[in-house]
Amino acid sequence: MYGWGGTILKAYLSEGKVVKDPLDPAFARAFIGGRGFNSKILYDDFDPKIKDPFSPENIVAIGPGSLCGNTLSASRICVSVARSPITGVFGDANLGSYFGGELKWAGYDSIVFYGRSEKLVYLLIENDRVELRDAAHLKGKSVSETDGILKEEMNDPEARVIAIGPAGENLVFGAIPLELHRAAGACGTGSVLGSKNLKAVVVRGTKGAKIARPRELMEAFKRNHQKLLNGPHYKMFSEYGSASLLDLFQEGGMLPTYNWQDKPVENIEQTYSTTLKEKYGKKMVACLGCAVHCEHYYQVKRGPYATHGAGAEYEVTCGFGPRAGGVNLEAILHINTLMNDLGLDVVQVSNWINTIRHWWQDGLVDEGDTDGLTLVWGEYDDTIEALKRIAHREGEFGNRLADNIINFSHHIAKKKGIPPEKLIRYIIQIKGMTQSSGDNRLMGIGAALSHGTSTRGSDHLRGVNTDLWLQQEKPDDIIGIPNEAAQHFLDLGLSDPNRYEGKEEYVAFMEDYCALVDSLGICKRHTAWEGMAIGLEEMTDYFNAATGLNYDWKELHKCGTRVYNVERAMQARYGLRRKDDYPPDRFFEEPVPSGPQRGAVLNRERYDGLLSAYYRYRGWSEEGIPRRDCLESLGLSEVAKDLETRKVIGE
Amino acid sequence: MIWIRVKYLNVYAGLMGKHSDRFSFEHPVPLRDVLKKMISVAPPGFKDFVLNQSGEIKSHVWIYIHRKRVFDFEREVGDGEEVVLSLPLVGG
Repeated sequence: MYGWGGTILKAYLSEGKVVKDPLDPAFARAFIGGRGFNSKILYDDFDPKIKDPFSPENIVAIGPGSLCGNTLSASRICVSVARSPITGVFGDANLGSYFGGELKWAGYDSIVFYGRSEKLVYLLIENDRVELRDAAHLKGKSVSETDGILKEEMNDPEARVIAIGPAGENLVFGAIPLELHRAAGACGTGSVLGSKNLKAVVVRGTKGAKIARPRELMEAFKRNHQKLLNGPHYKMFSEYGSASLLDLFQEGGMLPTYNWQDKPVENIEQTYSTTLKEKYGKKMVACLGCAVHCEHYYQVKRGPYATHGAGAEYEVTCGFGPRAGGVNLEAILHINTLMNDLGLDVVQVSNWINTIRHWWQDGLVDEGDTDGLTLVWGEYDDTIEALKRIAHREGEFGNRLADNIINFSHHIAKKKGIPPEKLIRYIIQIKGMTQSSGDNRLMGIGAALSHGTSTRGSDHLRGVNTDLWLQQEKPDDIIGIPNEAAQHFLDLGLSDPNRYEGKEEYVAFMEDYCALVDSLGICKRHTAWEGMAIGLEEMTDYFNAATGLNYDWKELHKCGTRVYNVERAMQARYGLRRKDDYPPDRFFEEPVPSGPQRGAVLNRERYDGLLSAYYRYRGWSEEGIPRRDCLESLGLSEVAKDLETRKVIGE
Repeated sequence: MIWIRVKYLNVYAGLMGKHSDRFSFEHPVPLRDVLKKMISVAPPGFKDFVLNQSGEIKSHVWIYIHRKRVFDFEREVGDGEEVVLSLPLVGG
């Protein structure tokens, strides 16, 4: 079987055994890999009646996209899937770096963890050798300490480790697994691993990838690689990383500040990527085989925030910078290193703390609610202390906030006699997942809809991150989308970011596109999602050469549609409905107060109409549930039957 | 005499070797003239990045004044205004 490893590993942690299942070729052709595989495995193997994400009945599936390990620039994304403690429903997270490729080289397409180990363990994979091992010596260790210890035990610096830090062991809802500084951010799958007493997975694979038509793959790679390098954003990401987006957002009047109050931030240029690169950047580092190398290796040499590490993406520079009302880049870099070691999600936890700052501003909380910490705008030392307390569930404040900001809101509401909805309104979240650093009032209506309908909660990675990219006159300039589709979107008038009508088609197209990209294991920073050149046609070339199949781009894109519908059906089983597909109330009710976008706000009535149009276009009911004919057209009859049995099929 | 400031964001700063410039003109001028003057002093790598083979500004050069995107290169730029060179806005 070309293109895939050919085996699914099933680790039954309660019994302490691991079983190897052969990969079903029909399943592989339909769901492609990575997110597609793992979402369908979760659909099939997890009983949605089990509400507690920390129940042993929850499962975590971690696996590489089908193109992982082919050493193409871009192909390395591994996806972790589980019922999420953050949202309470289906959740997943992408991990870059090297782990996915290494797992593929060992011959595996996914690892599925069932049950709960009695004691802390880690999984060792060395090609055909697979063992669950005692991890007592790793208890309480940071992600980087765990990485070092396991590589030493393997006596192999090229072994690859994903691990949870103390936050995952302590079941902090915002805990994630990481490979050193590369995070599987979002949805808190690290805490689910912690609940299973699984500390880490270490893998070494030397079998290589099985390619059906290697010459064709290399030719496609060479052809497309130059396009990637010629793209306008390549230079920006390869030299300044995603931190450069902060500069673009600020100068374009789009940057969320002060927890989306969008007030001016003094000395904001201190957080620009030029400052990061010129003062603290040592070099750029790459994930497996990547030409974009978008991560900074940084160093703060001296002072209270002395640190070194890698990453420093836009989400940390904004989340602990302007979104927190601060500009101290040294402190932000210190926080980045700390959070990676603790195994905390930068997006979620920055939102937790920034919401508290916002409450504080409005006199709703004070030191009496934070165990003495002063969490005000632009404050860093107590923020660092708060992060440590959250990760270790230290004190009442740390322990309660570790259970997510929504639960913390209920605690404060009860304590202070405030209606909980008053506090929850401050949280920018959809389906319980707090938002990354984009503003749905400003990034275009398609982006607002895409965040609203995202199958894993508020998410810029799920479909359209901004419509502004469509402000082009020629389809050629909409890089990464086939001309036929790009022209269609321009004909629909979608180059106007504030237009509502017709956006349903573009959003559905991009959602399925992203589901496919995550299933192939392609990094989105190479694709149309980020204005880069590896588009649907290029991905189809790679997939066909690797697997020996002969899909056209529309067939491959339809696989993304299939994956998206499985996820949507899964969310329907958990009880999600139309009401869960709306951006936060604040974006409908609080116009941007100042700056060039003053007055920008979403229109609820028009959004409502767009949402209905989107459901119709998708073939879903008015409640947003896939209908039988939609599912059958995607080869998902068994899903339709399951939804019918559970009486949740779209009417 | 008027002064117009040009700000170079990230990749432009790298290519230009500085973060900003100031250019003087006798009177307010179209944006096109500001860009021409800027390009006349720019190193070759910068020119290649912003101009196509016909010498026109490439579509990926996004320009902001007062944090609003300017589509019209005939827009008049006045004393004290700042022209910001950026790239198309994508998500993070």
